Amino acid sequence: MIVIFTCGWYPAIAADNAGIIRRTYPEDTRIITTTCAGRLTPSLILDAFGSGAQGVLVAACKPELCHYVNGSSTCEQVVAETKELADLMGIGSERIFLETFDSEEVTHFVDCVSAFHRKISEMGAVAVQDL
Amino acid sequence: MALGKALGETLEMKARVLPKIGVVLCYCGNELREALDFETIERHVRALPGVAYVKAEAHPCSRPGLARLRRAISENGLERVVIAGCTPRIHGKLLTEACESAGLNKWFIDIANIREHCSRVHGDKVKATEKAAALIGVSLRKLSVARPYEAVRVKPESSVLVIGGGITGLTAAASLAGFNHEVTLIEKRDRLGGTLLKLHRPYPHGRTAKAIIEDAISAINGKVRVLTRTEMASMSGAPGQYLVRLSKDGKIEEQKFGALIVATGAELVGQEELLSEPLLTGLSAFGGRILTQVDLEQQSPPEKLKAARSVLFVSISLPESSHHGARVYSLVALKNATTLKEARPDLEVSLLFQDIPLDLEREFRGARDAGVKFVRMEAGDALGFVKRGVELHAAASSGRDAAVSVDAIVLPTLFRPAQSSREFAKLLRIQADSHGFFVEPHIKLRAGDFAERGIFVAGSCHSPTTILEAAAQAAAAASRAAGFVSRELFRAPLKSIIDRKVCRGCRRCARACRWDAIEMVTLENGLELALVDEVLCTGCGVCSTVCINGAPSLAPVSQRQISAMLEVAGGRT
Repeated sequence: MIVIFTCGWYPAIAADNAGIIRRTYPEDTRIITTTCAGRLTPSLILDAFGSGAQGVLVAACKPELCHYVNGSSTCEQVVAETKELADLMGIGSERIFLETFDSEEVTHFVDCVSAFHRKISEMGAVAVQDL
Repeated sequence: MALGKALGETLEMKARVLPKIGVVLCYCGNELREALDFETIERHVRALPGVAYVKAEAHPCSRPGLARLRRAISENGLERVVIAGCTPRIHGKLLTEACESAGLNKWFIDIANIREHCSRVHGDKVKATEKAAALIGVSLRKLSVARPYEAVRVKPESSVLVIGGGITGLTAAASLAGFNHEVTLIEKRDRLGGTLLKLHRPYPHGRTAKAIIEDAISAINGKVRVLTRTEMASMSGAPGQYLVRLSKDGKIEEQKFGALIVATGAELVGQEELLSEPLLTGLSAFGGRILTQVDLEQQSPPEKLKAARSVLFVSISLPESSHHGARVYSLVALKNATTLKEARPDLEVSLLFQDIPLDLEREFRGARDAGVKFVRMEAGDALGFVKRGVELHAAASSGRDAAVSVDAIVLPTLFRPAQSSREFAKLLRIQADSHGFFVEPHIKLRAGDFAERGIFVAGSCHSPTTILEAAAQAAAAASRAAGFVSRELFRAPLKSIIDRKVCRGCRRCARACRWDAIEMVTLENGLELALVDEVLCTGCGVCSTVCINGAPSLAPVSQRQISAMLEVAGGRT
């Protein structure tokens, strides 16, 4: 299972557009839309692993297009910190992936989700079971 | 505020009981029924805690569908509603308003996107059905810990500040005064007119620059408060209620404005700077026989060309430089070349160009018919300036060298934003591009809209414009600003709430806040606490990511709600 956090601005539109033009990606993905990717905290990202997710994809806006100006860059820092924590906890930093999207980058979004899903499937379950 | 408090109290009273949640499943005509197994979804959803009502139907977004939704809420006493269907971007507003009219708070409604996020992106019906049920489960979790919020209403000030007394600012101020708004126009120099003061006969040739400025000034005379030698020192407050400090000759004056129009224009790039461009090196050998387009504007034909028999207009973009605006410099070169050729038919006029924008076809033909010769330069070609002319060294692929012998050279008219534009952008909380021109967050999707609502930008400070374009942009900005200050503003209650019991006053959030919405207050016992200014806060949530104690929570969707959603989103049951 992969949890995909999408920022409510451009990445959410990209995710919707994937549906509108009917591009397919794996089923065991759950999109959670937030106001801004910049509000994600390490604890929220790690919570996803706590509930059984094997990977977390964070879809943020392009930093120069961030509606809140510094949301996307904040998200970058938070994800970098969370990756360190994930390594320390034995989850593995490669299970967290940050990518930025513009609203028209549907193919990029779908490819990204599919590739990340493939990578996570190969990695299997998280070694640490009870988070 | 009183209402919010009352709602909060009722919520606390019911805190131990799960709210009654209604779920409306949408077949979307027949599309979703074909892609998903609704019986399974319904069975699964009914078993979830808190679900008091489940109904599947073809078109909840139709008028009878919305009426049924309202009835279902009142008849079943539903406290929260999940609608599972298409993306909230399509019918979210419609469905939310229907539920609100039945007495539900806006934030007690959630739309589970089982179409764009599920049925349409997955091929396997069984797996997609499972996912749809899970997505509804996620929405239920989100609502079970939701809190009610009311929209914040703001009555904007009706006055507008126009920054910049060039043709754009003057036109904008005149239109706003025409709408009966109180307008203040500030100009940092001691004369109104801006770049136009340097020009004589701008495009299209009908009137002189002087006449255009005089007309624009007389249009605002007596209707607009004009402050020359005045700059904006600082700005605080939020859209609709900006508090601006104006500094005139060192004296500070504070005034409130509902909206701001930024028309600070651009500066002409000087000759010395153009000559230092790598592409134009060697040009200085021409010495006194180098002209700028402004020279041509001021005298026609200019003194410097008295002895010349041939002249070359250079109308190319300079890649290394921070100058913009192919449209404007091409137009200026075409116009001046044509005018010069008409005034001095004996003069051989050539124009070196890379690209002429398509919409300048008419001006291009006009110049050609007047007898101007065109020399094309391909990208990658190099220029060599020799004593009596210019050599064009073609890049390998195009392979055609050319030489033009000329007596004088006219440089392109390039613009650059005013020196302080980047600091100014920070002051206004808007974005500037790498050159310092002000840019909107998305040129196509949100043209003319800036990150800061209530601030409108027009004219050459956005990108170099012609007078006609500047006037059109000014009128557009004025009408948007007028519309903005005339309506009551509704703001979603997007804000950060810092828990006083948890905050340790470390200032991390105050430093991280880009909107300066967090202030530190010192309590009687000497401890510091972070306090959020609700008007300034945009609810981006950056404060919650830097806090090491987890004190900030966000409205209307709290961190707790997202955690609740995540409890089921991971897939472990």
